[in-house]
Amino acid sequence: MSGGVDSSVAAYLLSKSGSQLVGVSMQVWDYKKNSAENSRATCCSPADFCDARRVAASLNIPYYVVDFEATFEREVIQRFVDTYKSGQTPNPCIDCNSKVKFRELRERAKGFGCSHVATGHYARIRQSADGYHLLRGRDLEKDQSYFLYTCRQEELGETLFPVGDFTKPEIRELAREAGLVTADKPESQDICFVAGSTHDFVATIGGRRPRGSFITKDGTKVGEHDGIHRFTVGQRRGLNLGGHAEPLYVVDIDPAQDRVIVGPKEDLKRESFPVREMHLVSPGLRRRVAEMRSPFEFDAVVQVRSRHRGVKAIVRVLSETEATVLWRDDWAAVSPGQAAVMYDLENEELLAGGRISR
Amino acid sequence: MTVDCDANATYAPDESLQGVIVRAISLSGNPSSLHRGGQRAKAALEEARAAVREFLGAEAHDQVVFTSGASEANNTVIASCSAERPVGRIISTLIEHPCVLEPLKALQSAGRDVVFVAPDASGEVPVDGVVRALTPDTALVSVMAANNETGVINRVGEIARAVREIAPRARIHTDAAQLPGKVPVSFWELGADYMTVSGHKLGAPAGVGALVIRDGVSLKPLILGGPQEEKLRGGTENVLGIVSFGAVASVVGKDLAKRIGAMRGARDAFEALMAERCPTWAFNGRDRSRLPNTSSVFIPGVRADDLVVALDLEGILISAGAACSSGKPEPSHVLLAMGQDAQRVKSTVRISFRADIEPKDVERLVDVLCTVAGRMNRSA
Repeated sequence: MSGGVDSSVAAYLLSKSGSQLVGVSMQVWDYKKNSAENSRATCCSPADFCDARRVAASLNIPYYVVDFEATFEREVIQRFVDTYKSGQTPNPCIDCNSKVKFRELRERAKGFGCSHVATGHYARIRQSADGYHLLRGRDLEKDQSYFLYTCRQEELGETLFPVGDFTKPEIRELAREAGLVTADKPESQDICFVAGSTHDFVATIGGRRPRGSFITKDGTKVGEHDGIHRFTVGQRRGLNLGGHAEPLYVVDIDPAQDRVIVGPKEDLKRESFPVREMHLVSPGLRRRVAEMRSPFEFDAVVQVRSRHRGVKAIVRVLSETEATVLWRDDWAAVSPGQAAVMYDLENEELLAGGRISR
Repeated sequence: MTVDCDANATYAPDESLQGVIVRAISLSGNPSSLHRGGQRAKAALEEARAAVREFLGAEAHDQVVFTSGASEANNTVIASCSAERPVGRIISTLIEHPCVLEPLKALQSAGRDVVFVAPDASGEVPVDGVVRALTPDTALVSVMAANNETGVINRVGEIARAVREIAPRARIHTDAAQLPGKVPVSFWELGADYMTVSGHKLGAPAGVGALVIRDGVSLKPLILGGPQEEKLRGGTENVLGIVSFGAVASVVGKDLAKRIGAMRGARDAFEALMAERCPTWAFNGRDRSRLPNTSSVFIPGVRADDLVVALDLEGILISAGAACSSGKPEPSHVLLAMGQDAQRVKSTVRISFRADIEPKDVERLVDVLCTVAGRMNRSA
């Protein structure tokens, strides 16, 4: 329970269904210690825990703040900082889900005697004879399945997403109906542990990267920048490179020489890109990969950023953990470090996902 | 039914006391008012003061000043002594409650000579450790009477005698918040100039405590603003809290020996059962004189904070070290000061029994602890 409306309503829905519940807020980061600003805007801040506590009390369920700081720092913060510093773009929510929420929380909840972990994610789980299927949330605007591709079968079997069958307005309506104090709380959009700018956070925690140059594909220097951790492939804003005929984008980052390669939009276009650290989710695909003798291909809708709708592509599976995505008619700019998540052609069931590689 | 094994955090009022507390609500007058409503409250206040004084083994001329709790009493003594003697060493220990440690650390950062004596491996403050820290100009020595986490009782009387000999001008303070109700308290035998006690550790509601001051010893008030408490603590008295404190002191004082026997019986039975069923578990300070109700248990391989949650879900209240106000448990400074490693500290829980614990509840505590710890070791 983050103290937001989604996990509040998740608890409310389960309490109505008669489940025996234990409310847990995850203490992942010490905001007082790590932020000069006394921000109340993020999720999981002490003020948010007060809201979670009040919701739990109104639902008459026990509630605890459980400490996950050590794991979060190691698995999420450190990776976040290291990824930026290596010139890639991290996705901390995915690491948090795979290493903290659906691993450590689940293990510790078992210690509390709990059989399942429920969260306020907008996603759905369906069970069939061959296993568990992970589907996009019914509200496609809010769908969070993209962040959940690392869920293993046994994790899906012990996970509940009560809000996944509802739209956000319906969730707010349920919260109001139940009189939950979080009913009209604003959305938290940004990275939960970063109160100010991401670049400053990376520099504070991980130390500054040296200044470097902006160059074009042919090696011409067109400007200077304050460190590669400030950039993401596909980025256009904040480059401060004026006087060019067409807008310039970051098309690549060279960490070895601290260079940011810029170019026009078409320079972002690639025929294909590699995916590593792949997780297979759908039972059918898992079976097919387990039985594979040589690489095979399948059609999928591939989503390459959290707020991307996905485009049709061919996925060539090379091994259990490696694939290549080949764009077909349409394409999207990809940022190394971010996740590529593959859905079925209805763009509903999540089949697999992995990290975009160089 | 909830089984409360967390009496050192707070001692929930016995049912018999709840009536006293409800009746005290009708004492609505301000004790400083001249009219009968005020005088009735004032009389009740003085009756409570006499009861607390007697219960704590203080003499008729020793002063009992009611405060908002032990934290205020400790802060008052430290502020008073450091103001009255602006120069000279202050000696305390590493195992004090934060309401002693923090004001002393603040003085230290402001340049004051403050020495914190380390406990031994069992958690007791060694008398010779305090003696070695003493200088002729020492202004204050503050040593807690019994530790809230381990229950280990310090030899405050012996320390006080040594201090009088080496630094006769030094003031001696003891934070005795955990003593009352668990051992017979004799302010005289402790030999201190000031003694802090807490109401809610005895069974009164939180929000009341007392500072006992030896006859003839001065004190500068921390809270200025009124003539209350003989000008030693400004502010309208917490009549409800103070009257409850007095009432609980009388009640507990009447059958103290029996209550101590019940606590000791439960604690010793618990430790004997545990040692039999889980021989790898270890008890802190077991080789020392301890509060009769307290057991600090190291349970290898479990997270103490998770164990507290799991036991709460089973209706059993315990704690991981001291009661913690934030959601985030800090590793116990007491166990760390005893030289234990962080891993062991994070796997240590505190069991502290009430006098009305039933033997069957002790057995249930043992069963649930073993079951839950086993489950946690498997899922980790």
